Amino acid sequence: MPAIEQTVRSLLLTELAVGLGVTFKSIFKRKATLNYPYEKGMLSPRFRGEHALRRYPNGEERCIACKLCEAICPAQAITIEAEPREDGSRRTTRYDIDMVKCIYCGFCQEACPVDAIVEGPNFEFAAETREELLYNKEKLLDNGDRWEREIAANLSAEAPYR
Amino acid sequence: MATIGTRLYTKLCGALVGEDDAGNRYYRERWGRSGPGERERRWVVYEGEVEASRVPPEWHRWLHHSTDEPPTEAPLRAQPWEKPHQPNLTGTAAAYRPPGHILGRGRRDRATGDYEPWQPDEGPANG
Repeated sequence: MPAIEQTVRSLLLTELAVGLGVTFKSIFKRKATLNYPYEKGMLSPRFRGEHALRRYPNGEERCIACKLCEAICPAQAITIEAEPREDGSRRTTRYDIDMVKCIYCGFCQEACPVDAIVEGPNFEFAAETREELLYNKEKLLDNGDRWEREIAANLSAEAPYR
Repeated sequence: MATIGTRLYTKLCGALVGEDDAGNRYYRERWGRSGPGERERRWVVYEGEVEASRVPPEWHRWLHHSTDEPPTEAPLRAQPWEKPHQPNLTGTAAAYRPPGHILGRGRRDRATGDYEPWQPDEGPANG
């Protein structure tokens, strides 16, 4: 019997029809792909993207140069130097992150006692040259000033779970 | 301007949700499936150059499905010192470069503090 069945199958090309049927069915299924850059994928509020230094609502920078982020950074991507400012408050004079070394683990934002360094939601910061990814304090504060709205919204969305 | 397929789909199935300051228009499906496990489709039609990083933060949050409320319904609170959104400027003259870069301005900060440079006269560090 199996011999006859196989002969019939190979003559009538039923496997081909079955395969085409599967193809035909998936035409009507929803696509799994995204039409990037028009459509974008799902991001958690916890997403760890490009770094930013935040400010207090009055515009004062949050970072107090405690260097906990520098200490915890497993890739040693953060460099901080600090001096007292003219008004006596402790601030960083240098805050560099080597975004090429960074492994985006998020330990820096976990370590930060004042929510100053955060990993924002932006991941579209690819650069043409390596040097453009050596961020200094000015660039990090600038990121914070441009993304603060979304960073604050994401942090408040996460607040009940922390 | 968008690709032909995107333009056609926007005409047929798009429901306008809002527009940002740069003129990018945001759409969702007119008859969106939004049952459990189903995400509605959200997309943007760029005004001018099609560049993914041109989406400003408030719309970025909605477009990436981090929230269901578009900023037209629930605007994010903005601080007075915030700066306007900027796309990724790499490849242009305005791109960020650290001070002291060969194409940039300024000088690199001198290393200070805990950094000890190696001196060639001292020989190998560990004998």
